[in-house]
Amino acid sequence: MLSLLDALVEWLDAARRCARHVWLLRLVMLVSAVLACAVLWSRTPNAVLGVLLAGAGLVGLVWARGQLPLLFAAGVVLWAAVTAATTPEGLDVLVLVPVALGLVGWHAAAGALTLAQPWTRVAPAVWRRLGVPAGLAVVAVLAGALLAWAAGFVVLPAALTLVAVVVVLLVALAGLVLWPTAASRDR
Amino acid sequence: MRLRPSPALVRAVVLLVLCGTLAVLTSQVALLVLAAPFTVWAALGVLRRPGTSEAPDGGLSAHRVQLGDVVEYRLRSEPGTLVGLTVPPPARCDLDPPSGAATGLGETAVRLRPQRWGRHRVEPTEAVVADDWGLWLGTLRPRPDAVSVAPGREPPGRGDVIPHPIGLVGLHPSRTRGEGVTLAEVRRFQTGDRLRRINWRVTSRTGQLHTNATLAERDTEVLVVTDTVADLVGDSGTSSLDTTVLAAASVAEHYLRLGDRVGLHDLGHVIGSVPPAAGARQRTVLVEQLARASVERAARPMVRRIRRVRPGSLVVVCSPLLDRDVLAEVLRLVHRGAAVLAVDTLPPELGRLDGAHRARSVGAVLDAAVERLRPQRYWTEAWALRRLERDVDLDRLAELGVPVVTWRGIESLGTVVAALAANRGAPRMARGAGAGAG
Repeated sequence: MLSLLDALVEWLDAARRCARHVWLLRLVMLVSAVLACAVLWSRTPNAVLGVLLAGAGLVGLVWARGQLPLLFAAGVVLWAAVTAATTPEGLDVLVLVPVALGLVGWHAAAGALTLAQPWTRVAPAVWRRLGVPAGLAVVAVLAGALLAWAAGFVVLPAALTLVAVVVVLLVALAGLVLWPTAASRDR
Repeated sequence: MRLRPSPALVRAVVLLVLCGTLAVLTSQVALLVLAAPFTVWAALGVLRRPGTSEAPDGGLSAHRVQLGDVVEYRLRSEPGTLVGLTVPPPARCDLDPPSGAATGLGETAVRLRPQRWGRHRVEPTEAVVADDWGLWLGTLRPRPDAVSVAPGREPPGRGDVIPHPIGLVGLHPSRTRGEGVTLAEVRRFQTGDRLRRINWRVTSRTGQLHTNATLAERDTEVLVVTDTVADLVGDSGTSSLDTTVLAAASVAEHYLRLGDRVGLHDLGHVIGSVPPAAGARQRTVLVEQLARASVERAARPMVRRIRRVRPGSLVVVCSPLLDRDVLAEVLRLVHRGAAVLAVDTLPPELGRLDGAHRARSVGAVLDAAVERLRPQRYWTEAWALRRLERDVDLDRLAELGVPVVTWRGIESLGTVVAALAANRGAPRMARGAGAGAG
């Protein structure tokens, strides 16, 4: 009981020492997560997926500095794929734009939290530089929407689909090679 | 050093693969919208893959500072990289930022303001280096560094009188006649007197040759003794060790400025000893000695005795005057013919019961209640008893001709030293008067 209390006091003390930007970034993550989930819920309300994603989102918010935010992002992608597959006429591209923007916000904010201790004072120039890839990603969402809308009229042959699967697997292999060996640095 | 992919880059690659696979397997082109931002993110990571670069270099901006000065630990990397530095606060040091952690572009710095003299070791924890878009990052441990902090000195005041000037030249007026500027008397001219000292006004008025006699000006030997056997800290944070070192530095500075020979002896093992000498170099030596002191050595209870003291020297003992061995050492100095002055450095609030029960605000009442519930709640009363015991010792010292002064700057010390000089003269005059009368 005493150790539990000590742990709670330690956790509260760590939260008290957190800089303001840490709370702001976590707020960005929360808003992005709510946006992505709300759009998907409006299309296919799935209680199981919703609860699982809420748990993953909570875990990602608390331990944002490691790889745990990936769980929520992967869950959103899976939910979007399920929604697209279960919609008879196919999912509208415009529906996925806010979902993608939510994912970008979640991913960028979690990435920014990784770079410094929660109580660090960060120079303003650092935020400007960190915003560049996020801005490019937002532009890519719009470009991707345009591309997806144009590609929607194309019917792919089976051989091309096979080639695409192989390419995707190769990229997956590259991802495994790039995977960092260090553990989470939340503590 | 070598940077590795950041968690953000790894996450982007994994999400890209997941989106692409699901898009292909479900034949849903719309999922490309989700894959697009992570494609860009992963592509940027591949394009900006850094090579092996030089490890950032860090260090303190100064290695010798005065108490109250600010020193910076700066970590520099290549331009356009993010550098994150964390410096755990050394004991009794203020940090800016208060957390001791800062992240900047190209370089970053944490400022330290030591609140205590001595040697402070600055040991940063693991530092983070990343490219400016946060795609690749690495960690390193910056090299530790140390800064020596010289104790602050109070501005010199008056009080250039000392009990026994024992040198040949100096600034203190001696009680013997000799070459100087302070007028002692106007007397008849004697063979050998300097012509330029003839007082022509008195000579013309009396019709006989008169001359001005002056007091010789001499220096003396001042030994500053510090008691670093224990460090006693009051409720307000005042430390007996800090006051001792501040008083020692101020006294040494004051008498060195007057041209005297000043030495330093530490009864504990914190500072060490410096043989007496005069001049600016001795001032530097003393300041360096005080700055290199290590507070960690304050816990050794054994007293280092003073081997040599010149009779007639002024000995200023800076001590909380609690240790029996220290008091015995003071008595030994008196018996060896030194003019001893004790500077009391015990924190004034220790053992004072005046304000103990005057809790007025709700917070103060609660604090007092919590204080009463503590297991060691009788510390204040215990200190009050100890202070009463000490007062008896101080009275005995005063009876032996050792004045005890609470440290309030060099001004108060000067007044007491002047009184000490007057007391030393008084018995001789009394003996002379008695002999003359008899």
